[in-house]
Amino acid sequence: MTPNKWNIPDLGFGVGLRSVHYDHILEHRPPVDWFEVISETYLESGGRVRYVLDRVAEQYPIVLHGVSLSVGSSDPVNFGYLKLLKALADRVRSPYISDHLCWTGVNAHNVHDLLPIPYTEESLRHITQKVKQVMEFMERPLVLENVSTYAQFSSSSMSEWEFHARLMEDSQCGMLMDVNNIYVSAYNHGFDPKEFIDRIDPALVCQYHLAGHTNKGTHLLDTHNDHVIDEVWELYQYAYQRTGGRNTLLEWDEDIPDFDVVHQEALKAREYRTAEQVAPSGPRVRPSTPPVMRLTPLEKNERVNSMSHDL
Amino acid sequence: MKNVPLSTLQQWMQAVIEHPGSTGDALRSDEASAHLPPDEGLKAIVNTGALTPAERIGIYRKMFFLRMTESMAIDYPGVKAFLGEERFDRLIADEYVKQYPSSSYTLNHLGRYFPAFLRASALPEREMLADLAELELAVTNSLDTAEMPLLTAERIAAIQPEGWGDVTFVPIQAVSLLTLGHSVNEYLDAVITDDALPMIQHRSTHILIYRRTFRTYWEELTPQQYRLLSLLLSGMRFGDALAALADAFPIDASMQNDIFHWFGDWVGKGLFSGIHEHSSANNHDDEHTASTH
Ligand SMILES: [Fe+2]
Repeated sequence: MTPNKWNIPDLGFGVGLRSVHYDHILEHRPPVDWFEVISETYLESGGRVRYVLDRVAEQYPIVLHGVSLSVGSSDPVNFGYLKLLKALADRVRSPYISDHLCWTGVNAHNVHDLLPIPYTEESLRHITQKVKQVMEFMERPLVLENVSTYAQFSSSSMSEWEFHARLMEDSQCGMLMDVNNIYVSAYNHGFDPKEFIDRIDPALVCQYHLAGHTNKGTHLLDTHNDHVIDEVWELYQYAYQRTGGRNTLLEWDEDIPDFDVVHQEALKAREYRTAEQVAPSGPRVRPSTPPVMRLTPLEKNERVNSMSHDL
Repeated sequence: MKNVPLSTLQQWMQAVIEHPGSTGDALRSDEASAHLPPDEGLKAIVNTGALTPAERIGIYRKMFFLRMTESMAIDYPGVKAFLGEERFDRLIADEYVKQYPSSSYTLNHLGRYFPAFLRASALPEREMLADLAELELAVTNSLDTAEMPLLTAERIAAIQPEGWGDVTFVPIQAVSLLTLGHSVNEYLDAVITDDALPMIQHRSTHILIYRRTFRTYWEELTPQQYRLLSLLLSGMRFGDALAALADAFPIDASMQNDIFHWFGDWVGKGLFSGIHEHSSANNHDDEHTASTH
């Protein structure tokens, strides 16, 4: 096992906290190792989402995962946003924060999508500067996730993995390796997903993401609406052999099933940690809670993490 | 296709994503062409595999409009029910997000300008739709406000009878009042409960919106209730508010009884967080007792 550069402890197998599961989690306190929360949902809300977050934070480790940092945008760093983010990270004691190696808008617009960046020297210099500013302000490690992409730019002078590796070297940020995103992008652009994994320094990988996707034939969509496919589990195993114990998180953002289904899917990851063959605990069957209109703001920000399978 | 600056490439791609219509329309739009001409733009995207560059950027375009319309549909189910899905989606995609693109870190803020947008629109039902949207926005806004401790019955019981004229109330954050020109509250009720949709009447309508234990409610108030409650929420002393009510409406014995019930109802609904007792001297700002929390 390779320790990660920041000695971030292995929290185990986590699940993304989603509003449809709030009642279940508060009532049953399921034995989940940790929760990842979409930062934007909680930044300013004083309502039910904040109440639930505080209760969850009393019981479980929490890591903040953002969708609006837009570190790849040519716009400057938005310190107003970072100020809110830092206050939230302190409140829930997030040991590090994660977001995506992407851009979400320019000229202060936000299109609320994780858009691809051109892998050029110019982008690298610009993003390196921004990452350094973010980490200095946040006073904790920034961990950037590789995103699923549907387009690549002709101006790119290096591969995605080379760009990510050089960014980590130049800016000292870490990587949230989304194995499903590697698989999706590899299919969409015709590269070898294992080559991506091989070229990333295992000491810089701080966390894994796993999720389901939708096969549209001509391309894969990162929909987070289903179980993880076997090929992605095998890719996780391949990557995991290089890094050893790293926080592993399952994302499920569309057609979300009962909490126990999502939790069991996350626990499947144990079977692929070859050094730690632990049988998952038995299913805990609970009735699902019907959604109540206008009880809580629907967590639209969570959906920014994924594409709709209606596309 | 080398050396397109990052900012140019991003401004071009954003313009293509945000432009309504077809991908071809978007590539040829003035907004996109201002950064890269259509053919150069397409060359900026690698042409490989089963999809063309236009199809590849088209995936992002479709997702953008889907996100925008879905997000607005969550905040404005009433307006959507009235217009129908197709008309609602077209209004959002073709006009609203073009005029009011998101500039927030969260989609929860996207609909903030929708009532004003509707009122200024050319839609024949614009006034009524804007009223409906105002109510829906007030409901949405109530969801995010901070939870506050509630004024208790014990605290109210501790007020001496002679002190009542000089008390003021601290409202909770999640309470608001609206006066609208249409009876949109009944319409929204029916949309939320999935009942048959009533006709929206053109009449002055006072609505109370409040959140209690994280659930938001709305209900119609009489003009008298509205007047008194709005004065109390604004921080006016109870005695002064009653006097102002009497100036506007005749208060007989039965209405005095009503007022007692209204007030008890508002406290029971948790509209107030605290109470201040003031001395009855001329100086109305002389506060000598702190609130409950
Ligand atoms: Fe992910």
